[in-house]
Amino acid sequence: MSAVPVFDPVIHAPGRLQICAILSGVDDAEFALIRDRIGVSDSVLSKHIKQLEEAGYVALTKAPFDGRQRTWVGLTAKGKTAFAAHVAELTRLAATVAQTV
Amino acid sequence: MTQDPNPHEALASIQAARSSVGRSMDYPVWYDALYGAVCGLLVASQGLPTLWGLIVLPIALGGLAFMVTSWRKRLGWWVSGYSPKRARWVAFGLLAVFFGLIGLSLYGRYVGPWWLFIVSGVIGFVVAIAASRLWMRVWLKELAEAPQ
Repeated sequence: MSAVPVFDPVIHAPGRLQICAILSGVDDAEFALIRDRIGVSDSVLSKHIKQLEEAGYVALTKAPFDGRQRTWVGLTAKGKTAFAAHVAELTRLAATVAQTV
Repeated sequence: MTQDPNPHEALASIQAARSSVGRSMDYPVWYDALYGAVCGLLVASQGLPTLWGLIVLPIALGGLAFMVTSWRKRLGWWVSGYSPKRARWVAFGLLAVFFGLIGLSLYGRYVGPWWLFIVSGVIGFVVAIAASRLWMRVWLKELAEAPQ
């Protein structure tokens, strides 16, 4: 079943869009991997993730690896639904733009 | 890209970000071999006498736990075989084959010949590796396309 198109301003900001895109392909990903993939600093990524967490779109877990805590981030069910709806809206808008050009 | 919705740019950005996950796929060959061994042991153990089954099962499950931990540590992400919409069908197919092989092991145990568990274990080993590689190809293709 395809998602109902809904534009989501929380997801649409470039950094958060990329974070959601990465997380949409996996169950969860480590904070450092996301940071490296989207090319931002720790503080910028933390800020984006905090906003997504406040919206209920991502969940954070901490797990020890090699004696230090690592943070893992995953999309929640609400986040998956919101991201799918946002992508559907972007696709709809892209088709509209293509028709008008 | 700005806050204003530029749908083409946004969709391209999503696609690039999703594909970037698949860039870090340099996992070693032993991972395939260990996965095949774990699956082979799991199906073969059903054909073993109870005591041996109880010994082999924790070894196989321990191997599985080790694989998940080392994958997460090495690559920094995890995806279950049943999560991706298209690739999950490869996992379901593999599961169906495993049920058949477990049945073969049990048949050998209760009806005979006794060595059927070896056959199911070897088939399980080979099929698991092939299915794992196929799953990975389907999943990488899925990542490279727009999310559904």
